[in-house]
Amino acid sequence: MEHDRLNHGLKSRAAAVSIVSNSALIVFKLIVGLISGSIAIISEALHSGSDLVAALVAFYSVRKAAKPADDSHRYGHEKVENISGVIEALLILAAAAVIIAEGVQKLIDGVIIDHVWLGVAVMGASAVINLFVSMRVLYPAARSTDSAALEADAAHLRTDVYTSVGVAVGLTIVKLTGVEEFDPIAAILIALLIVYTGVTLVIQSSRVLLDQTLPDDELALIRDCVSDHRGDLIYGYHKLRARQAGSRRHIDLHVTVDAAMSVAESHKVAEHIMADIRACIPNSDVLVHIEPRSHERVDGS
Amino acid sequence: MAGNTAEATARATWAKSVAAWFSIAANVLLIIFKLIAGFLSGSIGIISEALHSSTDLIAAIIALVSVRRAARPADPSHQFGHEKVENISGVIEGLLIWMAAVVIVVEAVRHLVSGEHLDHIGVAIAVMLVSAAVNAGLSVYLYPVARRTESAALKADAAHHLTDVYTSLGVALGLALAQATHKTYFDPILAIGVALLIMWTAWQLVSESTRVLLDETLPESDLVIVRKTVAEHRGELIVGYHKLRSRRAGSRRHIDLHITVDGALTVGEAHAIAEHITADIGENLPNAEILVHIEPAAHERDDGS
Repeated sequence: MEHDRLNHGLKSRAAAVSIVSNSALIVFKLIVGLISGSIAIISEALHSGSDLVAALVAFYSVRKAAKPADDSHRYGHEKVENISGVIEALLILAAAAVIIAEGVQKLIDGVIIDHVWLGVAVMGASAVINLFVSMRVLYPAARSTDSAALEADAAHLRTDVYTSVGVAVGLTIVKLTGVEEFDPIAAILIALLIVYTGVTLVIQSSRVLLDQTLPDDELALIRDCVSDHRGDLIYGYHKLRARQAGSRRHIDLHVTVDAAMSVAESHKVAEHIMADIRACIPNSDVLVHIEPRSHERVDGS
Repeated sequence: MAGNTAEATARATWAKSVAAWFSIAANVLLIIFKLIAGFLSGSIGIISEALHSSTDLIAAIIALVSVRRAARPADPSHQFGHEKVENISGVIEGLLIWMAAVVIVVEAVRHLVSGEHLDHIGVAIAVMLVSAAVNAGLSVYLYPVARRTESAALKADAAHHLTDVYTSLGVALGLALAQATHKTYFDPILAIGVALLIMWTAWQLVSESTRVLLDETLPESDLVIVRKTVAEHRGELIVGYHKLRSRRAGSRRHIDLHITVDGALTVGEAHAIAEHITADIGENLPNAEILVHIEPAAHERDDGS
C-alpha cells in the first residue's frame, strides 16, 4: 500500500515535470519567434503545444490509473495507462505525417529559410531540455514504477530530440553548402525514424490491451512459486492465465488437491500459494481455483 | 455442452466472416463504379469519391481480419483468448471515420474560402445516391449480424457505412440545392454539417470500444442474471458469494467470483458445487468464461460486494 502511494507520487511528479518543461519551451519559442519574426520558430511553438497535450494525457492517465477498483471497474483502472500509450503513439505518428507533408511541400515549392543561426540555437536548446526530461526524469520513473504512460511520454519527447537535432543539422548544412533542399530532406528522414517509434509504441500498448500473457521470466517465477508446493500440499496445477494492466498483473490458475481435504484446509493452501505469488510478482492480483485430484494435470497447461 | 458451445462459436464466426466479406465486395464494386463514372464524366469530385470508398475498403478488411483473429482459441501467449482484437478494431474504425470527417471539413472550408466551381452536378448526384443506397443496404444487413454475434468489429463497420450514407446524402442534397438556387456555398455548408454528425458517431464508437479495453464491468442486465443464478443456490449449497468481477472481450464475457461454503465440506463436494454454479451461469449468459474461488464460511460476506 505504502509502496503504491510512493510510486503514484513519483509518477505524478515525473508527468508534471514534462508539463512544466513543455510549457516553458512554448513560451521560449513564442518569444524568440515573435522577436525575430521567424514563422518557422513560431510554428515550432505549435509543435511544443502538441507535446504539452501529450504530457497532459500522461499526467491525467497516471492519476486515473491509480484509482482503486470500483463498481464499474472491478479489475482496477490501470489499463488507462496503456490506452494513453496508444494515444501518445498516434500523436507521434500525426506529428510525423505533418513533418513529411511539409517537407514534400518544401521540396516542391522551394524553401525560404530565415534566421538560420537563431533557428539552430532554438532547436539546440529544445533538444537539450527534451533530452534531459526524457532520459533523466521520465524513463527512470517509467522503469521504476512500470508505467506505460510515462514510458510513452518519454518516447514522445525522445522523438522531439530527433526532430530538433535533425532540423538543426539540416539548417547548418544549408548554411554551409547553400543547398536549401537539405532542410526538407533532413526533416523527412527524421519523420521516418519517428514513424518507426510510433508504430513500435502502438504495438507495445496494443499487446497489453489484447491481454497478452506476461513475459517468460515472470511466468517462470510464478511456476516456480507454485511448484514449490507440489507434492507436499498440492498435486499439481493447470490453466495458468496471466495478463497485464498498466503496472498491475492479473494471474489465475487451477490447483489440484486431495479430493478428501476439507474446504477450510484447501483454502489455506490456496491463500498460501496466492501470497507466495504476490510476494514474487509485485503488484499482482491472484485468484486460485481449487480442484479435487481427479481433474489433475500436472503440466501447468 | 462444450461441443455445442464450440459449434455455436464456429457458426457465429462463419456468420461474421461472411458479413465482413460482403462489406469488402460492396466497397470494391463502389470503387469500380465511381472510377468509371469519374473517368467517363471527367469529374475530379467523383474520382476523389473513389478514394473515399478505398478508405472504406481498408476498414472492411480490418473488420474481416479482426473477426477471424478474434475467433482463434486461447493460446500460450494469449491465455484469455483473442476477442479483444475486435475492440481494438472498433477504435481503429472510429479513428478512420474521425479522419474522414476532418478531411471533409478541411475541404469544405477550402471550398467556402476559395469559392468553387461545380461540374457534372447531375452525374455526381446520381453517383452519391447509388453509393448511399449500397451503404444503407450494407449497414441494414450488418447491424443485426453484429448484434446477434455481439461483434464489436462488425458493429463498427456497420456504423462506418452508416456515416457514409450521411455523407453521400448530404453531398447530394448540397449539390441539388446549389444547382437549384445557384448558390454554391450550400455544398460546403452541408458537408460541414454531415462531418459533425459523423464525428459524433465516431466518438461513440471509440468510447464504447475504449470502455471494453479498460475492462469495464458488464452491463447491469448481465450482472442481474449472474447474481440471480448464484443467489438461487444460497442456503442450499452455498453460504454466500462476494468479489464478483466481470469484464468483456469482444463477444466473450469474463467473470470471476468468490463463493463461501461450509468449511467442513470436502474439496470434491465443494468443487461439484462450483462446477454446478459455473454451468448454471453459462446456461443463462452466453459466451461466458467463469472462474470460481471457493472459501470456507468463516470468510462469509453474502452481499455480493
